[in-house]
Amino acid sequence: MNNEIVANNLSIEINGKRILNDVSFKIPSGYVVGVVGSTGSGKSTLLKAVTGLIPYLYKRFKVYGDIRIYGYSPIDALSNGLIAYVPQDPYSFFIGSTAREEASILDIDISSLDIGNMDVDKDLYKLSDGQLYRLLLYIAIAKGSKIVVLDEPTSHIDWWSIEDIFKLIKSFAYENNVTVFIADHRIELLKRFSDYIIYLDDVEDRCIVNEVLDINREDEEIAVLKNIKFFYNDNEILKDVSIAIRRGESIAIVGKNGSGKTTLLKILIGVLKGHGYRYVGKDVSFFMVPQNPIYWLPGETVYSVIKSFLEMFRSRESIDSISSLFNLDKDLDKNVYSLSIGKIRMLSIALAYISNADIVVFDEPTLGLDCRYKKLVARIIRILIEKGSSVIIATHDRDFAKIFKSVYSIDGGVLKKGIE
Amino acid sequence: MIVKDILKKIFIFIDLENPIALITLLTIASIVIMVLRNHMAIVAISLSIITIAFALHFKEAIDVARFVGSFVLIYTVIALAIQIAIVGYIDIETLAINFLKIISIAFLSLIIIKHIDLAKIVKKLYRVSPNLAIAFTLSIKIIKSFVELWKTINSIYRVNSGKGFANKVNSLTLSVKAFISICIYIAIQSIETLITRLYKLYIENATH
Repeated sequence: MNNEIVANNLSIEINGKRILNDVSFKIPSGYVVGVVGSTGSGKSTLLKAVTGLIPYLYKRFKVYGDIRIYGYSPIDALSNGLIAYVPQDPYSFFIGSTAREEASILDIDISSLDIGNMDVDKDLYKLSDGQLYRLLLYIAIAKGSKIVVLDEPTSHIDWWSIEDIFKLIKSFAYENNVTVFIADHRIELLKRFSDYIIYLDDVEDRCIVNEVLDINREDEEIAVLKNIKFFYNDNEILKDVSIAIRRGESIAIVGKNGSGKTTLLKILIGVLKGHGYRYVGKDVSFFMVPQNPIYWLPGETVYSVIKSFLEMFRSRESIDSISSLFNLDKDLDKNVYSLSIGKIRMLSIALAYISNADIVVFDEPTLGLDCRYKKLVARIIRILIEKGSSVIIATHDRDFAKIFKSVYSIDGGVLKKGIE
Repeated sequence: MIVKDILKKIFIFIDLENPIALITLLTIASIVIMVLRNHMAIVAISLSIITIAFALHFKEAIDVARFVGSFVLIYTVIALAIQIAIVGYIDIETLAINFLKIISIAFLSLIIIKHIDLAKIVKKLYRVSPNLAIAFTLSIKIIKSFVELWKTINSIYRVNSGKGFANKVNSLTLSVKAFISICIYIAIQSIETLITRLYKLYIENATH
């Protein structure tokens, strides 16, 4: 069997619009392959062509050129069980809700998996990022996969765990002679850990966001949390957290997964109730953009969604001005669920902009965004605070957090000023 | 805890370890609720189901109640409008009985699904048909996440809606649309990965 993955002049189009153009590569087995490109450049499309999902599942896509996986066409490789695909939400990879259940469903002997001392009865959502990726990689090869395809893994991995997970992927590929495709925006990281890189366009390697977000219009405190505690299943998630938000202030809260930052944001906006003092000024409104921006949008066109929110908030802005400001003008007739994760995040931020809320809360606003869009998010936040809104974000991205006026770090439910 | 133990002893047929018993119970209870015309019996059955649900898993039941409540409310409003349009008056009794029936079935399904041993069921179904097993597993997986998903969407729209009654109604409509779209999205993502992982099995099954 030929152990290479070869593409010659691979092009893909849908409805007459070309998404990929003349992509060629030749990759031996056991390589880690980085797929690099700006938001909407076709990274996910390439991965779906490699896995055979295009055109097997997505029949409207037209594929030109040639692609061979170990000598097979992608659909034949699929039918021979050579490929495992992990979508942007890694939990979708699993059928069961625990490692034991998953192995049992797939008829795999759980003790044969190289998953260390992982608690196999623990809910998958409660596993650490490292455990989750170890489990999915080893389950993939237990079913005979020779190619593992990961779509935007860092959009779900903790900033602090990314290096370790990429090291795990690299050693996994070498030790098991498995080829791992990774499409991601973390270009520096991909360059360090990949044996081969496929560039889909000219995307910036290093991202430096220079926006100044320390405009402070007034000193009026519009929301205050004092000595807030929060318990979940007898675990203390927040420990005596205090924070004040002034009008026009920009605040970044930096912390690992599970450190309590999202809980803090939810208490601030009133979705969760903590023990302690919470004050919100009269008529102060909130707008929240959640971490996974697609998990709240209706399945309509971008145009319809923007229109609904313009009407709801009686905004004087026009659909054209909003779509132009947020680089969505070419996507107005597309269904929200067909957009890349970066574009969906931009749409969510556009809706926050339309709301004109007093306090805009973003949970992980830069996940899945390339450098160009990160800069755009920073610019939008500046516009929001110039208009008088306060912006508070929870993030893993320490570099992005540094451009904010007030920066806090949270660890084990304890909030401190500055980044440790 | 004592209440829970007593209820477990009284309702010994609710064997949380035995999925077949749970499914049988669900089917029988659903049929009884659907077919039964005795109003007092329906009230009694509904109350006991809801009480069991709350006693066994209070926190989960609260979430389920919110989830079910939102959808049943929409159903009730539609039913009310249809009654007025077709019959010309409101039949409170029919409305209340149907309300209780739906609540009971929803509670039964969600609580029981939460406690099904998926691996055991899938293994049994595999013997019948691997495709059926996968389809069933995928459905259960999505249904299991219904409550949590609705809670998330609903909380976001409660924060993000504009002021005024009309906007609240608009937000509710958007959140229901979002809920349906997200369920489809999750299903598609799961199908994508299941195809790559289980296509071999599918082909083998289709050719034999």
